[in-house]
Amino acid sequence: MNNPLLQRPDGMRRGGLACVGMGMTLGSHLTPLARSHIEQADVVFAALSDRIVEAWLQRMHGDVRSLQPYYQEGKSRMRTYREWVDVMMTEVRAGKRVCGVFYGHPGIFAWSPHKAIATARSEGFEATMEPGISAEDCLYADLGIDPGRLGCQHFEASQLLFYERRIDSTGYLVLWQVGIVGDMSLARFRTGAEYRQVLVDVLSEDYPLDHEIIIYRGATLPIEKPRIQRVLLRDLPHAAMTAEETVVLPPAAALKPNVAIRERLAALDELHELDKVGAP
Amino acid sequence: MSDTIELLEAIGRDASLRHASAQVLSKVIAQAHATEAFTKTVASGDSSWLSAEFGQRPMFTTQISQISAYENDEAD
Repeated sequence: MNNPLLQRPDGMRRGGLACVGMGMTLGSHLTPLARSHIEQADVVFAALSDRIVEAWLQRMHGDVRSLQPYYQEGKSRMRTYREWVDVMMTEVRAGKRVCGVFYGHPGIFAWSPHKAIATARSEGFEATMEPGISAEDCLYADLGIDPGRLGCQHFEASQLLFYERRIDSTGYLVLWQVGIVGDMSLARFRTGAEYRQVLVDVLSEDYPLDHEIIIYRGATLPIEKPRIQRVLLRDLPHAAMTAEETVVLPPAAALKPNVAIRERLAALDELHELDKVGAP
Repeated sequence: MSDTIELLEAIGRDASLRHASAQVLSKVIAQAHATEAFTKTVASGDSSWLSAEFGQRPMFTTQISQISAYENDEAD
Protein backbone atom coordinates (compact mmCIF):
# COMPACT_ATOMS: atom_id res chain seq x y z
CA MET A 1 0.00 0.00 0.00
CA ASN A 2 1.34 3.47 -0.89
CA ASN A 3 2.08 5.65 2.16
CA PRO A 4 -0.24 8.71 2.10
CA LEU A 5 2.48 10.74 3.83
CA LEU A 6 4.71 10.22 0.82
CA GLN A 7 2.28 10.98 -2.01
CA ARG A 8 3.28 13.61 -4.53
CA PRO A 9 0.87 16.50 -4.90
CA ASP A 10 -1.19 16.22 -8.10
CA GLY A 11 0.18 19.51 -9.33
CA MET A 12 3.51 17.82 -10.01
CA ARG A 13 2.05 15.18 -12.35
CA ARG A 14 3.22 15.15 -15.94
CA GLY A 15 4.20 12.54 -18.51
CA GLY A 16 6.85 10.13 -17.37
CA LEU A 17 8.18 6.66 -17.97
CA ALA A 18 9.30 3.86 -15.69
CA CYS A 19 10.63 0.60 -17.09
CA VAL A 20 10.54 -2.23 -14.59
CA GLY A 21 11.05 -5.97 -14.55
CA MET A 22 8.61 -8.63 -13.37
CA GLY A 23 11.52 -10.90 -12.57
CA MET A 24 11.47 -14.41 -13.93
CA THR A 25 9.16 -16.41 -11.64
CA LEU A 26 5.54 -15.47 -11.00
CA GLY A 27 5.00 -14.47 -7.39
CA SER A 28 8.66 -14.76 -6.41
CA HIS A 29 10.61 -11.92 -7.99
CA LEU A 30 8.47 -8.79 -8.39
CA THR A 31 10.04 -6.09 -6.24
CA PRO A 32 7.92 -3.78 -4.08
CA LEU A 33 9.17 -0.80 -6.06
CA ALA A 34 8.32 -2.35 -9.41
CA ARG A 35 4.81 -3.16 -8.17
CA SER A 36 4.44 0.42 -6.97
CA HIS A 37 5.41 1.76 -10.42
CA ILE A 38 2.81 -0.53 -11.98
CA GLU A 39 0.07 0.48 -9.57
CA GLN A 40 0.81 4.20 -9.86
CA ALA A 41 0.97 4.28 -13.65
CA ASP A 42 -1.81 5.67 -15.82
CA VAL A 43 -1.11 3.00 -18.43
CA VAL A 44 1.02 -0.15 -18.44
CA PHE A 45 2.69 -1.77 -21.44
CA ALA A 46 3.84 -5.37 -21.09
CA ALA A 47 6.42 -7.49 -22.89
CA LEU A 48 6.42 -10.71 -20.89
CA SER A 49 7.46 -14.28 -21.51
CA ASP A 50 4.43 -16.16 -20.27
CA ARG A 51 0.68 -15.76 -20.86
CA ILE A 52 -0.05 -16.59 -17.23
CA VAL A 53 2.37 -13.94 -15.95
CA GLU A 54 0.63 -11.46 -18.25
CA ALA A 55 -2.70 -12.45 -16.67
CA TRP A 56 -1.16 -11.86 -13.22
CA LEU A 57 -0.01 -8.39 -14.27
CA GLN A 58 -3.48 -7.57 -15.59
CA ARG A 59 -4.79 -7.97 -12.04
CA MET A 60 -2.48 -5.22 -10.80
CA HIS A 61 -3.74 -2.53 -13.17
CA GLY A 62 -6.87 -1.80 -15.16
CA ASP A 63 -5.10 -0.75 -18.37
CA VAL A 64 -2.41 -3.25 -19.33
CA ARG A 65 -1.57 -3.29 -23.04
CA SER A 66 0.36 -6.27 -24.30
CA LEU A 67 3.25 -5.58 -26.68
CA GLN A 68 3.15 -9.18 -27.97
CA PRO A 69 0.80 -8.40 -30.92
CA TYR A 70 3.52 -6.27 -32.50
CA TYR A 71 5.64 -9.37 -33.17
CA GLN A 72 5.02 -11.00 -36.51
CA GLU A 73 6.78 -13.81 -38.34
CA GLY A 74 8.51 -12.29 -41.36
CA LYS A 75 8.58 -8.80 -39.83
CA SER A 76 11.89 -7.36 -38.68
CA ARG A 77 12.09 -7.51 -34.91
CA MET A 78 13.88 -4.12 -34.95
CA ARG A 79 10.70 -2.66 -36.40
CA THR A 80 8.75 -4.29 -33.56
CA TYR A 81 11.11 -2.89 -30.93
CA ARG A 82 10.87 0.62 -32.42
CA GLU A 83 7.07 0.33 -32.43
CA TRP A 84 7.20 -0.50 -28.74
CA VAL A 85 9.14 2.71 -28.10
CA ASP A 86 6.67 4.69 -30.20
CA VAL A 87 3.55 3.42 -28.41
CA MET A 88 5.05 4.09 -25.00
CA MET A 89 6.28 7.55 -25.97
CA THR A 90 2.89 8.47 -27.46
CA GLU A 91 1.36 8.07 -24.00
CA VAL A 92 4.25 9.83 -22.26
CA ARG A 93 3.85 12.83 -24.58
CA ALA A 94 0.12 12.81 -23.83
CA GLY A 95 1.05 13.52 -20.21
CA LYS A 96 0.54 10.02 -18.86
CA ARG A 97 2.66 8.17 -16.33
CA VAL A 98 3.69 5.13 -18.34
CA CYS A 99 5.07 1.92 -16.93
CA GLY A 100 6.79 -0.49 -19.31
CA VAL A 101 6.94 -3.97 -17.77
CA PHE A 102 9.41 -6.52 -19.12
CA TYR A 103 10.24 -10.03 -18.02
CA GLY A 104 13.32 -10.45 -15.90
CA HIS A 105 15.35 -7.24 -15.80
CA PRO A 106 14.12 -4.52 -18.19
CA GLY A 107 17.60 -3.51 -19.25
CA ILE A 108 19.23 -6.85 -20.00
CA PHE A 109 18.93 -8.18 -23.55
CA ALA A 110 16.15 -5.68 -24.15
CA TRP A 111 16.57 -2.82 -26.63
CA SER A 112 13.28 -0.94 -26.29
CA PRO A 113 13.41 0.02 -22.58
CA HIS A 114 16.81 1.69 -22.91
CA LYS A 115 15.75 3.47 -26.10
CA ALA A 116 12.42 4.60 -24.64
CA ILE A 117 14.12 5.99 -21.54
CA ALA A 118 16.77 7.81 -23.57
CA THR A 119 14.07 9.27 -25.83
CA ALA A 120 11.87 10.34 -22.91
CA ARG A 121 14.78 12.04 -21.14
CA SER A 122 15.91 13.80 -24.32
CA GLU A 123 12.42 15.30 -24.54
CA GLY A 124 12.52 16.50 -20.93
CA PHE A 125 10.39 13.81 -19.34
CA GLU A 126 11.26 11.97 -16.17
CA ALA A 127 12.26 8.42 -16.98
CA THR A 128 13.71 5.68 -14.85
CA MET A 129 14.66 2.03 -15.06
CA GLU A 130 14.35 -0.22 -12.01
CA PRO A 131 16.45 -3.39 -11.95
CA GLY A 132 14.68 -6.74 -11.86
CA ILE A 133 15.74 -10.29 -11.19
CA SER A 134 17.02 -11.48 -14.53
CA ALA A 135 17.38 -14.86 -16.20
CA GLU A 136 21.10 -14.47 -15.59
CA ASP A 137 20.51 -14.17 -11.84
CA CYS A 138 18.39 -17.32 -11.86
CA LEU A 139 21.04 -19.12 -13.92
CA TYR A 140 23.73 -18.46 -11.30
CA ALA A 141 21.46 -19.71 -8.52
CA ASP A 142 20.15 -22.78 -10.34
CA LEU A 143 23.49 -23.92 -11.78
CA GLY A 144 25.62 -23.05 -8.73
CA ILE A 145 27.88 -20.68 -10.66
CA ASP A 146 29.62 -17.69 -9.08
CA PRO A 147 30.67 -15.37 -11.91
CA GLY A 148 33.25 -13.82 -9.61
CA ARG A 149 35.25 -17.02 -9.23
CA LEU A 150 36.57 -17.48 -12.76
CA GLY A 151 34.86 -14.67 -14.65
CA CYS A 152 31.90 -14.91 -16.96
CA GLN A 153 31.38 -13.62 -20.49
CA HIS A 154 27.89 -13.10 -21.86
CA PHE A 155 27.03 -12.75 -25.53
CA GLU A 156 23.93 -12.80 -27.60
CA ALA A 157 24.74 -15.91 -29.64
CA SER A 158 24.41 -14.27 -33.06
CA GLN A 159 26.91 -11.59 -32.17
CA LEU A 160 29.56 -14.32 -31.87
CA LEU A 161 28.85 -15.25 -35.49
CA PHE A 162 28.47 -11.75 -36.95
CA TYR A 163 31.60 -10.32 -35.32
CA GLU A 164 35.04 -11.55 -34.36
CA ARG A 165 34.77 -11.62 -30.60
CA ARG A 166 37.44 -12.89 -28.22
CA ILE A 167 36.44 -15.75 -26.00
CA ASP A 168 38.28 -16.54 -22.78
CA SER A 169 37.75 -20.26 -22.24
CA THR A 170 39.26 -20.15 -18.76
CA GLY A 171 36.03 -18.59 -17.51
CA TYR A 172 32.34 -19.24 -18.07
CA LEU A 173 30.73 -18.36 -21.38
CA VAL A 174 26.97 -17.77 -21.51
CA LEU A 175 25.21 -17.55 -24.86
CA TRP A 176 21.72 -16.08 -25.09
CA GLN A 177 19.05 -16.44 -27.77
CA VAL A 178 20.72 -19.53 -29.23
CA GLY A 179 17.34 -20.58 -30.62
CA ILE A 180 17.58 -17.83 -33.26
CA VAL A 181 21.34 -17.92 -33.74
CA GLY A 182 22.53 -16.64 -37.09
CA ASP A 183 19.32 -14.96 -38.15
CA MET A 184 20.42 -11.95 -40.20
CA SER A 185 16.89 -11.21 -41.39
CA LEU A 186 15.70 -10.38 -37.82
CA ALA A 187 12.39 -11.78 -39.02
CA ARG A 188 12.49 -15.36 -37.78
CA PHE A 189 11.71 -16.77 -34.36
CA ARG A 190 13.83 -19.84 -34.73
CA THR A 191 16.73 -21.05 -36.81
CA GLY A 192 17.58 -24.71 -37.25
CA ALA A 193 20.34 -27.23 -36.69
CA GLU A 194 22.46 -25.94 -39.59
CA TYR A 195 22.74 -22.51 -37.95
CA ARG A 196 23.64 -24.04 -34.58
CA GLN A 197 26.31 -26.06 -36.40
CA VAL A 198 27.88 -22.78 -37.52
CA LEU A 199 27.92 -21.70 -33.87
CA VAL A 200 29.54 -25.01 -32.85
CA ASP A 201 32.18 -24.55 -35.55
CA VAL A 202 33.02 -21.09 -34.20
CA LEU A 203 33.12 -22.35 -30.60
CA SER A 204 35.29 -25.33 -31.57
CA GLU A 205 38.16 -22.90 -32.10
CA ASP A 206 38.28 -22.49 -28.31
CA TYR A 207 36.54 -25.61 -26.97
CA PRO A 208 36.93 -29.32 -27.69
CA LEU A 209 33.87 -30.86 -29.34
CA ASP A 210 33.44 -33.25 -26.42
CA HIS A 211 33.26 -30.36 -23.96
CA GLU A 212 30.17 -30.74 -21.76
CA ILE A 213 27.86 -27.73 -22.04
CA ILE A 214 24.60 -26.86 -20.31
CA ILE A 215 21.30 -25.91 -21.94
CA TYR A 216 19.31 -24.01 -19.34
CA ARG A 217 15.88 -22.50 -18.88
CA GLY A 218 14.73 -20.96 -15.62
CA ALA A 219 11.28 -21.43 -14.12
CA THR A 220 8.63 -18.84 -14.99
CA LEU A 221 5.93 -20.47 -12.85
CA PRO A 222 6.64 -21.28 -9.19
CA ILE A 223 5.45 -24.86 -9.68
CA GLU A 224 8.13 -25.46 -12.32
CA LYS A 225 11.68 -26.62 -11.87
CA PRO A 226 14.47 -25.13 -14.01
CA ARG A 227 15.19 -27.12 -17.16
CA ILE A 228 18.82 -28.23 -17.22
CA GLN A 229 20.28 -30.44 -19.96
CA ARG A 230 23.92 -31.43 -20.19
CA VAL A 231 25.13 -32.30 -23.68
CA LEU A 232 28.39 -32.39 -25.54
CA LEU A 233 29.25 -29.34 -27.63
CA ARG A 234 29.18 -31.43 -30.82
CA ASP A 235 25.58 -32.45 -30.07
CA LEU A 236 24.24 -28.90 -29.68
CA PRO A 237 22.84 -28.64 -33.24
CA HIS A 238 20.44 -31.52 -32.67
CA ALA A 239 19.65 -31.00 -28.99
CA ALA A 240 16.03 -30.26 -28.14
CA MET A 241 15.86 -26.57 -27.37
CA THR A 242 13.41 -23.70 -27.34
CA ALA A 243 13.79 -19.98 -27.91
CA GLU A 244 13.84 -19.40 -24.13
CA GLU A 245 16.88 -21.55 -23.51
CA THR A 246 20.40 -20.40 -22.78
CA VAL A 247 23.67 -22.22 -23.39
CA VAL A 248 26.43 -22.23 -20.77
CA LEU A 249 29.98 -23.35 -21.53
CA PRO A 250 31.94 -24.07 -18.35
CA PRO A 251 35.66 -23.33 -18.41
CA ALA A 252 37.69 -25.54 -20.75
CA ALA A 253 41.15 -24.57 -19.49
CA ALA A 254 42.83 -23.58 -16.25
CA LEU A 255 43.80 -20.00 -15.48
CA LYS A 256 47.36 -19.25 -16.60
CA PRO A 257 49.37 -17.14 -14.12
CA ASN A 258 50.70 -13.87 -15.51
CA VAL A 259 54.32 -14.25 -14.39
CA ALA A 260 55.57 -10.86 -15.59
CA ILE A 261 52.81 -8.91 -13.86
CA ARG A 262 53.15 -10.94 -10.66
CA GLU A 263 56.86 -10.08 -10.60
CA ARG A 264 56.01 -6.42 -11.07
CA LEU A 265 53.52 -6.55 -8.18
CA ALA A 266 56.04 -8.34 -5.98
CA ALA A 267 58.52 -5.54 -6.65
CA LEU A 268 55.89 -2.99 -5.59
CA ASP A 269 55.20 -5.00 -2.42
CA GLU A 270 58.91 -4.92 -1.61
CA LEU A 271 59.02 -1.14 -2.07
CA HIS A 272 56.08 -0.71 0.28
CA GLU A 273 57.76 -2.92 2.87
CA LEU A 274 60.85 -0.71 2.61
CA ASP A 275 58.59 2.38 3.06
CA LYS A 276 57.22 0.89 6.29
CA VAL A 277 60.67 0.17 7.62
CA GLY A 278 61.82 3.69 6.79
CA ALA A 279 58.77 5.40 8.37
CA PRO A 280 59.37 7.35 11.59
CA MET B 1 -12.57 -23.59 -6.73
CA SER B 2 -9.50 -21.51 -5.98
CA ASP B 3 -8.22 -18.94 -8.43
CA THR B 4 -5.19 -20.27 -10.32
CA ILE B 5 -3.33 -16.97 -10.43
CA GLU B 6 -3.83 -16.39 -6.70
CA LEU B 7 -2.61 -19.90 -5.95
CA LEU B 8 0.47 -19.43 -8.14
CA GLU B 9 1.27 -16.11 -6.48
CA ALA B 10 0.84 -17.62 -3.03
CA ILE B 11 3.17 -20.49 -3.89
CA GLY B 12 5.70 -18.16 -5.53
CA ARG B 13 6.14 -16.00 -2.45
CA ASP B 14 6.08 -18.77 0.15
CA ALA B 15 9.51 -20.16 1.02
CA SER B 16 7.96 -23.40 2.28
CA LEU B 17 6.14 -24.01 -1.00
CA ARG B 18 8.34 -22.52 -3.75
CA HIS B 19 10.64 -25.54 -3.91
CA ALA B 20 8.25 -28.10 -2.41
CA SER B 21 8.02 -31.53 -3.98
CA ALA B 22 5.20 -32.39 -6.36
CA GLN B 23 3.76 -34.60 -3.61
CA VAL B 24 3.57 -31.75 -1.08
CA LEU B 25 2.26 -29.29 -3.66
CA SER B 26 -0.41 -31.73 -4.77
CA LYS B 27 -1.76 -31.91 -1.20
CA VAL B 28 -1.65 -28.13 -0.80
CA ILE B 29 -3.49 -27.41 -4.03
CA ALA B 30 -6.01 -30.16 -3.37
CA GLN B 31 -6.90 -28.44 -0.09
CA ALA B 32 -7.20 -25.18 -2.02
CA HIS B 33 -9.53 -26.81 -4.56
CA ALA B 34 -7.29 -26.04 -7.52
CA THR B 35 -8.51 -26.50 -11.09
CA GLU B 36 -8.03 -29.78 -12.89
CA ALA B 37 -5.44 -28.17 -15.20
CA PHE B 38 -3.45 -26.92 -12.22
CA THR B 39 -3.61 -30.31 -10.53
CA LYS B 40 -2.42 -32.08 -13.69
CA THR B 41 0.42 -29.56 -14.11
CA VAL B 42 1.72 -30.15 -10.59
CA ALA B 43 1.40 -33.91 -10.90
CA SER B 44 3.11 -34.15 -14.29
CA GLY B 45 5.51 -31.18 -14.22
CA ASP B 46 4.11 -30.27 -17.63
CA SER B 47 2.93 -26.65 -17.64
CA SER B 48 1.15 -27.06 -20.98
CA TRP B 49 -1.96 -28.07 -18.99
CA LEU B 50 -2.01 -24.61 -17.42
CA SER B 51 -1.21 -22.96 -20.74
CA ALA B 52 -4.39 -24.52 -22.10
CA GLU B 53 -6.37 -22.99 -19.21
CA PHE B 54 -5.11 -19.52 -20.19
CA GLY B 55 -5.30 -19.90 -23.94
CA GLN B 56 -2.39 -21.51 -25.77
CA ARG B 57 -1.11 -18.57 -27.76
CA PRO B 58 2.66 -18.47 -28.16
CA MET B 59 4.65 -15.71 -26.50
CA PHE B 60 7.75 -14.35 -28.19
CA THR B 61 10.65 -13.57 -25.91
CA THR B 62 13.44 -12.09 -28.03
CA GLN B 63 13.83 -8.41 -27.19
CA ILE B 64 17.16 -7.58 -28.79
CA SER B 65 18.73 -8.17 -32.20
CA GLN B 66 22.36 -8.35 -33.19
CA ILE B 67 22.98 -7.15 -36.71
CA SER B 68 24.92 -4.48 -34.90
CA ALA B 69 24.96 -3.24 -31.34
CA TYR B 70 25.53 0.20 -32.92
CA GLU B 71 23.17 0.09 -35.91
CA ASN B 72 20.32 -0.74 -33.55
CA ASP B 73 20.54 2.80 -32.24
CA GLU B 74 20.04 4.46 -35.62
CA ALA B 75 16.70 6.02 -36.47
CA ASP B 76 14.61 4.62 -39.32
